[in-house]
Amino acid sequence: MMAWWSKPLSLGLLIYIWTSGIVILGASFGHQFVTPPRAASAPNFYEKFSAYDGGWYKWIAVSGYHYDPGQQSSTAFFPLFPLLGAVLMRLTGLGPTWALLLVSHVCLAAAFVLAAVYLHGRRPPPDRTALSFTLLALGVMPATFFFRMTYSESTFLLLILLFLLGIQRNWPLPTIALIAGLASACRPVGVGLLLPLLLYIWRRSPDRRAFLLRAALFAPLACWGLLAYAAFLYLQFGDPLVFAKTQVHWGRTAPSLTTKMLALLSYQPIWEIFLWQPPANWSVFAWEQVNPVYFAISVVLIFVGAWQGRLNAYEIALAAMLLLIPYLTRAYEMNMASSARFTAVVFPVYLIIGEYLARLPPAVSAVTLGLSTFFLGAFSALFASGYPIF
Amino acid sequence: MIASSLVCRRAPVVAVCLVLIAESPLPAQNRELPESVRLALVRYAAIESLAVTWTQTAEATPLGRKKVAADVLDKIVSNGSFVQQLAFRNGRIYVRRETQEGSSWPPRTEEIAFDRELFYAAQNLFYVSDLRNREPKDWPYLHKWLPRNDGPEASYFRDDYFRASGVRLPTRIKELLLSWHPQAELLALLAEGGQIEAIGSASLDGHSLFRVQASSLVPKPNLGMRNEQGTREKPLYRYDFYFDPEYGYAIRRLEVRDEAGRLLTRSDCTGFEQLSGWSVWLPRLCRVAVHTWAGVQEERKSIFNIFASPLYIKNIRVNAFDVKLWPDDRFQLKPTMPGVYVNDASFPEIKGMDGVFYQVPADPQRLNEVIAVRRALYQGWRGADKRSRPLRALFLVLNGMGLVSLAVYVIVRQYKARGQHVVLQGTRETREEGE
Repeated sequence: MMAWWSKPLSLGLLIYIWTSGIVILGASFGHQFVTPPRAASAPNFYEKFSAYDGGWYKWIAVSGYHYDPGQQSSTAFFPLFPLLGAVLMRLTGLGPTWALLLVSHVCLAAAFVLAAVYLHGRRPPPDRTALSFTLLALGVMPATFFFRMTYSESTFLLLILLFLLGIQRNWPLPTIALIAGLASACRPVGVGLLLPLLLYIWRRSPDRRAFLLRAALFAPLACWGLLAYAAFLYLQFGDPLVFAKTQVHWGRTAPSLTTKMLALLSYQPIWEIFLWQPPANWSVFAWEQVNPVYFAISVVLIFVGAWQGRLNAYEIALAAMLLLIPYLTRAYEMNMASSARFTAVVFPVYLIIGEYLARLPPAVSAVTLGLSTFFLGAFSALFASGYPIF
Repeated sequence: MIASSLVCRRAPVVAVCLVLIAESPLPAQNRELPESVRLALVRYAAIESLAVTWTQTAEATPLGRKKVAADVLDKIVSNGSFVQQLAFRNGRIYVRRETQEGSSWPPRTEEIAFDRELFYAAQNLFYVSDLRNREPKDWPYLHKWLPRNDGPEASYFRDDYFRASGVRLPTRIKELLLSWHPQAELLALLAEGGQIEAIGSASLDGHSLFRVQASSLVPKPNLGMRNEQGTREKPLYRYDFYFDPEYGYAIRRLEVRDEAGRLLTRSDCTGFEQLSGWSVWLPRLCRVAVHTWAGVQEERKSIFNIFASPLYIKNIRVNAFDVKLWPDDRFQLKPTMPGVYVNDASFPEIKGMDGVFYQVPADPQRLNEVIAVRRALYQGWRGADKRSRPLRALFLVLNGMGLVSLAVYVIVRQYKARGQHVVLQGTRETREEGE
């Protein structure tokens, strides 16, 4: 007999509430006690949840898209999340920050429940401890505080989990392709769901011809969100690719493709930032240094998890795409900025962390989670007080 | 005494200019500029120091409101209304512009200066990657940079008043780096290879004027028009100068036309005033009618047609002329107030427009210390590129080794699996034979 709190719905919601409480308390602490690095721009506490890219989503929800080839433009931000926020604003009369926060948190709560359901259905089934640790890791890993801000990560996480659940439960191909397509309207890495989808099609196809036929039919369907957004941009600004073109205004420009590829192959974006300052100036609270470390640890965890057979083929394919796409496209240009946030949605990482935590002595697991919780709260505080955490 | 010393001081400058002009071989011309006009125009080059403060407004005409996209027009009008001071002396130049509060913008002040070594740009509002919120932060910002690190064609100085009154000032970096002086627009055109096409007399509002029609032969990228095929081409401009002999051949009207003779802008100037100590008259009021608009940024929403009536009008009213010699340090911008953000690219090791970032501390005694710390960080960052080379090579080698190891591992594993398969098969066959 399963205790009420260990059922997927209640367990997911409980962990969502507890872990989100840490973020809110951390942000509140930052708002009240941490000296901001510069004059405060948002006097209201709730506005602290919409700093940096959160401001862009707010802008889109209120004013729609704009594109100026000479400067950063909102077209870089995919439409699903701000669209949901805008709909909520019109339905409820809420302000943009509250509406987007509500979307974020509803999606995150649903993502926790789906994660619990997905974990219950995994083969071999995880023990109860590993399941709880996985959900806890999803709630308290430091970069997951972005799930509680006006960012699109929680919406994207929900769609990823829905996609994985669909595969786990053998949902019809069109349904899974539609979910992947919706994810491609949420974040650019949504196209990364194509690889696990193709794998799913391959496994469900009796022969190569059937595979090719289905792939040709469902691969475009799995990009419908991206295609619809590109069509909108074409109609609005006369160029379907302005979402990519405006990226040149974020970060540096690679002098040549060769330079960039050599840098990526030698992992330069990951270690380069540590050469900029003497080791005495390195800090675990410097987010620009946390970003590459977070990414590197996640890659190692996925690699080891795959090697040890702890992840299935779909999870490996999904994780590989979600890590590789941002690394290959933006890591050099942005010096790994935001890579911790990009990595936070790689759900298979939490599967590995959960399993390892379950195998560690309870005291060690507790301290590890405690440390992670501390950093979750600390980074929430720094984010809320205006430090460059992105 | 003062007057004679002033004359003595300025006489060599005038003489040098006269010699320069006299010695400059002008290209073949249809008509020769009368000597009296030439001498009058040459006097602009002798102005050693001048500061003009003017108020400028822009207003859209009914035609403009009909033909130009509303947001573009709004930008023209709001960006075209300000109080500006432009000063120059001995190759140095300074501009201060105060823009009034607009519909979506608070009042702001911008200053740009060049002291013959460095460029300075300062503003009272500073965005910290926060433009999307449309909330300018009230933090003063100063940027200093070396001319060699900027593009030679870059231009930061807006000289609408001088353009309207037919006085050419250098605005592009490559021009400012040379030894320069103000020039009459007509003489500047001729020196660049322009040609006089016709000379005559004209009458305007009861004034008898001397009219010169000239054409330019140099492209003006900022005014680039598009032909019917929509491709950008090097334009030729036709100028119509109306000089007023009564005021030392100051310009009363200046018309600029395209190659086909269609009017692009018309400046009408009045209220002439003699600069104290100089035989030069400058207008107090100018009205510039603009008949076209072709901003590069707004290409999609702009119009490239030229209209018979103006799209908008710029009104310029001079508040003050100041011919006193400005001290050198007025052409330098210095961060004195605590809290000012500084982007200091004036150090020799800086390779681009962006340099050492720092904020002026509350205690001015600590400023040098702050700069030293930030400069050391900058140098560390620059040095990282050199230090990263061996690491990059190491990781590339490790990558290669990793790939080779993986390949060997896979091959060995397959070989072993095949060997096991053969052994198993052999055992099975032996067992079958035994049975």
